[in-house]
Amino acid sequence: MAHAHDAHAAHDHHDDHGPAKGIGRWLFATNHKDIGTLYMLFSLLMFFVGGTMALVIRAELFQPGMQLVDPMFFNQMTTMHALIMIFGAVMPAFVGLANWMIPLQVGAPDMALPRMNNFSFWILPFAFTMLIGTLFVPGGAPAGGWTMYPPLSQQTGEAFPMLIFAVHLMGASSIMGAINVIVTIMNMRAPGMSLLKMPIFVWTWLITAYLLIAVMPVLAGAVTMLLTDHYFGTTFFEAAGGGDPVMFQHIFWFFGHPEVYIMILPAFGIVSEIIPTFSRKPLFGYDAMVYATASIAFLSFIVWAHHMFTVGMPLAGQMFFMLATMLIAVPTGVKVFNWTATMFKGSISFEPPMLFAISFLFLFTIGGFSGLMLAIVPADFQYHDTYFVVAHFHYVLVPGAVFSLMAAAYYWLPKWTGHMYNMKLAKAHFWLSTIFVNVLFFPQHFLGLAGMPRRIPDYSTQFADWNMISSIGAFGFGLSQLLFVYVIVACIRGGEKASDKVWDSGRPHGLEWTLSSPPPYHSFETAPEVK
Amino acid sequence: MATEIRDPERKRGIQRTVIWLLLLAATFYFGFIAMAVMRSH
Ligand code: HEM
Ligand SMILES: [Cu+2]
Repeated sequence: MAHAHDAHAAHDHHDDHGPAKGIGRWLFATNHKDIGTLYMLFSLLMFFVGGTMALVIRAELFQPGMQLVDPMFFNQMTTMHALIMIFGAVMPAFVGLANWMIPLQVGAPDMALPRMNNFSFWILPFAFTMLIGTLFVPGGAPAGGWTMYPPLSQQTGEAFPMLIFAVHLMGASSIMGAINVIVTIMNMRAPGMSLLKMPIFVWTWLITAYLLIAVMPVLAGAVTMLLTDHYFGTTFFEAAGGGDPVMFQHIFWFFGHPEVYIMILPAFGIVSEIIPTFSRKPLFGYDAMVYATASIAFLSFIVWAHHMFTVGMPLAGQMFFMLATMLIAVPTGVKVFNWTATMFKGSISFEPPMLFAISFLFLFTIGGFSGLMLAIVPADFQYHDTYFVVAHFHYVLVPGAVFSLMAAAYYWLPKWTGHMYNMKLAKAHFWLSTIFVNVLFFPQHFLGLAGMPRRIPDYSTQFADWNMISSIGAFGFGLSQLLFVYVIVACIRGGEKASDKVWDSGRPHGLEWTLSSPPPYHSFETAPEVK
Repeated sequence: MATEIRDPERKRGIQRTVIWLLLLAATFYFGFIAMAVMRSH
């Protein structure tokens, strides 16, 4: 562990103490807070780009028949929506939070590798400009699904190399971000902060970062092979040349399943920070939470083929992947139990972060249950590639991952800006989001069980009613998010002064609350002593 | 500009961690491609 005098040496030679002026502050940013802000603003922008695509999809599906877009463009929308939301919105938002909060929570002056931090952020605008640019090239944007299965994805037009390059860039950015997180946590903690004294958000990010370093290279390998199949005569995935298209699916999902946990473990961390604060009790079962997170991460490597049951595999394979998948319910259950136990007999108050955290608890669990249904092999033969799957992953990702991000924003925004935000509007944003997200996604369970396939621009008339309701929910949810932006912008520009502790009546816990709101430009000039 | 880490021991610690993590990432990248190459003869 770090010694007190190391930390002194780390800051004794500072030659500047404030941000640079003008655009240079952002272009050449090396400060963890500035970079965190950049990540989060970029993510917010991508939420609206990806969200607009979702609204194109839901507008077309409002009624049966083809009204607004042609099928090829529809498929471009589903593919781009998923890629932008996963790699452009959800992941960068969590990396932004890591940048802002990890140094504050471990008592470090900054991230360990500030210049690489700059690089890993600025790669993203290039990658996404290129990805979104594919909409304007001959053949249009990628339309074979975010999973990029060959041989379909090999039919992409001029967009093909742009897609592959963009995925490589996103991967490089994520790997650099993950390295920075691990190095910071392993080498920059304040004296006395042993691993099992770290805030739970730091723990979940440490484990997530290991997942990223293990699986982003696997995705990169998969798309590299797509590229060589396309241009350099290899036949990794081409049956005609002795290759195997199903092998792509195995490689992709070896990345893909840990990837979904990359998007949820930091969310678990956030919720585990917020619930104790507003229940005015310490987190129930801290050690169990850490071990549960590690178990989920481990199990996430041995369940990938639950995405491929219908492709065909030996019975033993089906049994293994079904049971391994169901095992994840155990550590996940431990977490849900501990959150509930933390609230039990607590003196609970319902500020916006807590509202989102409680909503997360209920709605994420619905997604977990539909996941368990999908894990049952014979049932999955029925559900696979229907709207039931769409309902499942949107429950875990929207009122799951995205709600946790909103909870985090409402929890730490006063710390970041030094201002309180408009509680009334934030609560209105919460209620509108919670109601509309269910109007949007709950009916998709019914559609899937009734047999409506996913990724189609038209459907037969018996699906009309629930589709119309779902589309109304989508527009309601999308419009409600304008309120979120308004609350954030207003809070950045001014408002009642926030105290250092921000949630004075609550029980906020951790080093970030010992700093001023907003914190000084260089977070901990002197390393704090942790007892 | 950036916060410099001057303590040599901490600097070495950081460098060691980075190298191990890069190796881990490279192993997964080349490892999976190598497995695919072996499967397709
Ligand atoms: C309780 C744990 C979970 C279980 C048992 C589970 C199970 C499954 C299964 C079996 C499928 C494949 C369904 C099919 O295609 O027929 C699936 C799809 C999916 N799950 Fe989960 N899941 C769980 C949690 C999560 C979480 C936490 C996330 C993300 C945060 C997530 C995101 C997804 C996504 C994105 C897909 C669809 C991928 C695609 O085909 O495009 N799941 N899940
Ligand atoms: Cu999965």
